[in-house]
Amino acid sequence: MLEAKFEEASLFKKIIDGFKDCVQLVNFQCKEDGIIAQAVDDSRVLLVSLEIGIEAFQEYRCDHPVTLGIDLNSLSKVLRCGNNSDTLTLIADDTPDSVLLLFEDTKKDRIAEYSLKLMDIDADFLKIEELAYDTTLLMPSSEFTKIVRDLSQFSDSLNIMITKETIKFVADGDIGSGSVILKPFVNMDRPEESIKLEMDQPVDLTFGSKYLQDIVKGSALSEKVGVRLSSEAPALFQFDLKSGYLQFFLAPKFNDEE
Amino acid sequence: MGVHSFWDVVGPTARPVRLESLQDRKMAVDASIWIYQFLKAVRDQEGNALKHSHIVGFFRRICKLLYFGIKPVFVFDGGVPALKQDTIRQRKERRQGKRENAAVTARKLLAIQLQKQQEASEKDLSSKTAKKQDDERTSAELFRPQDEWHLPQIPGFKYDLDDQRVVSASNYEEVVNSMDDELEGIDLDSINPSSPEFDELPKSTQYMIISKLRLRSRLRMGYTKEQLEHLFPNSMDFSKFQIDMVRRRNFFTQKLMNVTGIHDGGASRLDQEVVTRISGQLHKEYKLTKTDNGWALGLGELDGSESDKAIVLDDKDVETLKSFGHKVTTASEEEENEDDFEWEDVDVKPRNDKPVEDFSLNAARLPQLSRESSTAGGKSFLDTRPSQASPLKKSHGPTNVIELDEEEENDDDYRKQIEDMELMEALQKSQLEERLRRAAQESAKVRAREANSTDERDEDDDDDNYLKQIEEIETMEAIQKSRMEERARQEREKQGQEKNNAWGEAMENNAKRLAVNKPALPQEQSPLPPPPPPSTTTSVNENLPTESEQNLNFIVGKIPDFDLSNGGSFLFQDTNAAAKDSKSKDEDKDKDNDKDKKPPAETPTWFQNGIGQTANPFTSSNFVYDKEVSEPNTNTSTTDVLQRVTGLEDGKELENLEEPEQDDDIHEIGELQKGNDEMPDEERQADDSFSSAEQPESQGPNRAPLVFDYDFSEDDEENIAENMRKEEQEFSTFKNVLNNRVVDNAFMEDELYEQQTKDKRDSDEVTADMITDVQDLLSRFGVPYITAPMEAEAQCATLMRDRLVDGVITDDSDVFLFGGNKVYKNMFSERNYVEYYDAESIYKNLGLDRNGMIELAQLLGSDYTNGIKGMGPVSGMEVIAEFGSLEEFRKWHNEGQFDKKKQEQENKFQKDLRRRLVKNEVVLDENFPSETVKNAYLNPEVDNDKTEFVWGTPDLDMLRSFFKRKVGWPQEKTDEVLVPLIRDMNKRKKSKQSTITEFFPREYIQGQRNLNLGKRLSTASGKLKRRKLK
Repeated sequence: MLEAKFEEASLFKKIIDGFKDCVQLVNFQCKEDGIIAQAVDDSRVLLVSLEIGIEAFQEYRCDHPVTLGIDLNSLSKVLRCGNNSDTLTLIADDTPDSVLLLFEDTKKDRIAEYSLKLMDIDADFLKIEELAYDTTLLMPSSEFTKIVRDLSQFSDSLNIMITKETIKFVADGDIGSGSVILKPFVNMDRPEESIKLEMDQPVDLTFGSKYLQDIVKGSALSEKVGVRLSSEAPALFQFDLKSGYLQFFLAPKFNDEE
Repeated sequence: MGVHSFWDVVGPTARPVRLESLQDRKMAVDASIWIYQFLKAVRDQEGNALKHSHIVGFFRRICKLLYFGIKPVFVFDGGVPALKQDTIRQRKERRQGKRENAAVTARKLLAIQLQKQQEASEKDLSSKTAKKQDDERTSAELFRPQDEWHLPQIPGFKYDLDDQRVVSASNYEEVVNSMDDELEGIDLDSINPSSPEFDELPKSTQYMIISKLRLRSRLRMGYTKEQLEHLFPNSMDFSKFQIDMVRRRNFFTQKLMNVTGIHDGGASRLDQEVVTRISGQLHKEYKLTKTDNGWALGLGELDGSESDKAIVLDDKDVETLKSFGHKVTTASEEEENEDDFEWEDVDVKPRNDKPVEDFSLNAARLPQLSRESSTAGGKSFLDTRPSQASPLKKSHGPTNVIELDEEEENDDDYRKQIEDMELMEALQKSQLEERLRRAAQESAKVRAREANSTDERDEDDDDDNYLKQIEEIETMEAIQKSRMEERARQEREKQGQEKNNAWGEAMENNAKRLAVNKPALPQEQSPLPPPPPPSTTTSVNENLPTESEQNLNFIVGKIPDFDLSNGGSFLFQDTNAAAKDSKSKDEDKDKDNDKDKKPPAETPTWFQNGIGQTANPFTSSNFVYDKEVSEPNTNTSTTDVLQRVTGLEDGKELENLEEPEQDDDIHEIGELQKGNDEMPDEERQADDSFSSAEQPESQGPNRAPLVFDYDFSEDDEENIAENMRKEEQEFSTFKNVLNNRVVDNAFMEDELYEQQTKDKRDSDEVTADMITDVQDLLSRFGVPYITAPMEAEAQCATLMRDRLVDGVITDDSDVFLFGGNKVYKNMFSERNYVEYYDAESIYKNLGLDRNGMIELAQLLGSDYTNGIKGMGPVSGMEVIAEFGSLEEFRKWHNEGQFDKKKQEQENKFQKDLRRRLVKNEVVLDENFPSETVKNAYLNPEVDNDKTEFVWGTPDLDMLRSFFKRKVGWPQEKTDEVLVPLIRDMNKRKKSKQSTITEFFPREYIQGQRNLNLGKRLSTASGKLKRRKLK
């Protein structure tokens, strides 16, 4: 029996909106310590990993591990039915055919209940190992979103170069080129706007713009985005939740001539 | 292919994989199946393999693979392992059997075809003289090899687009449709239901027409008694007419029955049916023989030897009778003529005009009455002009009738003149002199002179008549055409009249006779406009020797104008196309026009025509004949004239009634036995000879050259015969073409044909050339390929095992048995997904490992083994699950086979299984789990070279030239696909997108997925899995 109650439906909505555009069918694995989900996009370039810890819920109870195979398009339809301020409770039995979504308006006695049919979803499950990253960058998600969106207009690939003191985003395309250079700094008053860089090795990586554009949709979840880069591994973009995270692993593009 | 039903077993384990995710995967492609697939699947409508299906098919698939960034390695079959050869041999035997079937089918078809031809040729033969029979025979022989040769391409026959004889299907449809639509406006009287064209009309139309005609034939043609009396002053004539109408009615009735399908006659059989019926009634041909008293009509052969009844008949009667009978009669000259005639119609060439039976009402002898129905030209137009929208309407031209009517109304002198004119045409040069004589007698007109001369000639020489008849035939065709044109020109008549008048005046001035003629001719008042003959000019120029030169010159001077106008106004483009025809037509028109509208002008035109007739003498003669018919005042040559007239009428109205005329000719010849006997067969030459022959008798200054021609023609008799023979051949070939078409149509509808198509498909094989082509293509794409030592799928499995590739693209389930994994099936049947099978999943879900699969193969049968009869995929799985191995299975089977006690201990499954095995007479010998088979799967002969493959880039230029040369694609078509593809590839190459799975080890989650296995299968696989766990 699963009962997971979000204090605000908007949280779950944001989580789902954060990655519903790059993957469609997702297995949500509900365990005692929370819900995790993993999905790879069709081209197998982008891996989405979600973990929602118990603290993120107002109430959480899961007696038995349950896997909910959900079509995110359907789920987001249901989620649109509820108000952001409603509480949302996910309910499923131990061998569920469907999951129940319960919206309760806290201010008035309005209860909406939706049932969503579950699916059997075949999926590869990747063992995500803890990778050693050359560089870790923490920056405001809004800033990151703006850079990605701006530079994506120029090219379908975005180059990220990090040296000791600078973070450089470059896009070079048919219509022209653009680059944005950031430098780490600390804003004491508004720490969320600080840019923090930890660098062991300089990196120069190229990513597909369209994947980055998918990734930045998760920025609604968190004011900060953590970017971890390694020249020989997928980049990790992580949006932290109150408890848990939404991670994107993006395989880089390699230059064949090299 | 592969293990039978194996895909059914492993099907549920398939997972859809997006093609995008296969980017940069190296894939071994089992290409041996591909060519086979293309051969089987890509077919045109007739079931023929498309010539380049393998190239185009490979091209598309390669493009698809490259588009998704897949790196393919194509693997072709090498040799055939010994074990597989059995199966191969069986396959081949089956295939050869199929090919035999195809051959048998083709033979059947050929037999049918030959039979039809035989029938047709028999008809022809019977209808032709011995001489022509030879031709026919040769033609038939010619056809046979041709046919055999063409058999593979049967569903169509080739013909020149310019060939007017052949109507393309679309054209034909148009024509028919338009005819259908325009039926209302058609002059029903002018339709000849016995014509082949008529048969091609829609059944409904045929029915309508025939029923109407039949009704009309009953009603005295709508004439009152007085009118009829007026028309047939002679009661004999009237009774003949009635008899004729009865015959027609009978024909219509039969035709109607055929059309309505009462006699079960298909469209193709209609002709024959009618013929037989007629023949059955008539039994024999009607013969007309000239006796001392007149003409004798007899039933019998055409020798003319029999003259039981001596009846004075008009030529018309004879002709009509003959026309009716000609198909029926066996070896009569008439029939020959008919055939020729048909042929001519089709060709539009002026040949021996041999009229087909004309059952149109117009054909009946109501020449005088026909005025009223002033429709368009003769039937022959139909044949000659396929492009015409509604040839039938125009086909039966009453124009002749009109002329005749006019003539009748006109003075006898006029008629005589006309007759004279005709004769003159035939005689051409001699006529001029004769006309002069005539004129002296009846009138001072130039025409009169001509007529007189003609009459004299008739009297004098039967030969002349004979010649005339020939000419008539030709002219009739020409006249018909010309009439058509004339109608078209009627609008321009006004303009033309002025010219004509001027012309006529000029003519008069030029010719002394012309001036004289004018006064006499005013009586005639024909609506027909005088079309100036462009063609005549040439002929006239050549022929005109002396007197007429001036006239001719004048005409010539005017001709260009007319030509232009005519060309524009001509309804039928054909006329323009056929210069000769048009010429003759023009001449005819001129004549007609002159007579009708401008009596004064006529004579000169005639004259000129007659002079110029060397080219087309017939035209004028026909006209004359018509008039003659109406004339009561036939001269000494009346009989001849009458005959001719009838012939003319028939010919004009229907298709040329050559038969009667020729018959007459023959008779005449027999009696007269003059040097002109040759003439009938040699139409064109006959013209020349005609004029020349006449010339000696006639003593005109103009005729000197003609005489020369005549002599020449006589001398070249053989040449003429030769030409005739050629024409015959032409005809026969054409007929063959037609026959072919009929047969082809039959093919299309025939089941045999479908069978043949199917058999052909099954018997096509992959050839070495195809493989070479494909490999050439691959190298131009920069795609590596290898030829396996033996089986391609085994090589694919090896490549997979050696990690030279990341997956295998094949539809052959053998690949699993060879140790293959990661198999992508149906790669090209869906746009975005491909079915993915991997051995782990199969093992996990079904409990089948490689050995299990091999055992299963021995139960189900595969390329290497025939399996066990009656063993299906589910029961096979059950057996393996039940007994664990084939050895156990065999042991159980053999031990329990004769041991009742053991059998009683068996569980239900085993009892059922045993029952089934017994039922299928399965015997499991010691060899049953064949080690050979197992070995063949476990250790296939493969190339173990571990060299990495290298992929190049497609060479656009090379590909362009390849497709241009091999498939005939223009560069644009190749670029259409290749340019964007290569651009894409280059972009991708510049920065290669890696995938996430390269970095993380994958673990397949099975989840709670319930494979959609059947109940028995899931039970069996569960059992098998448990067994494996032990």
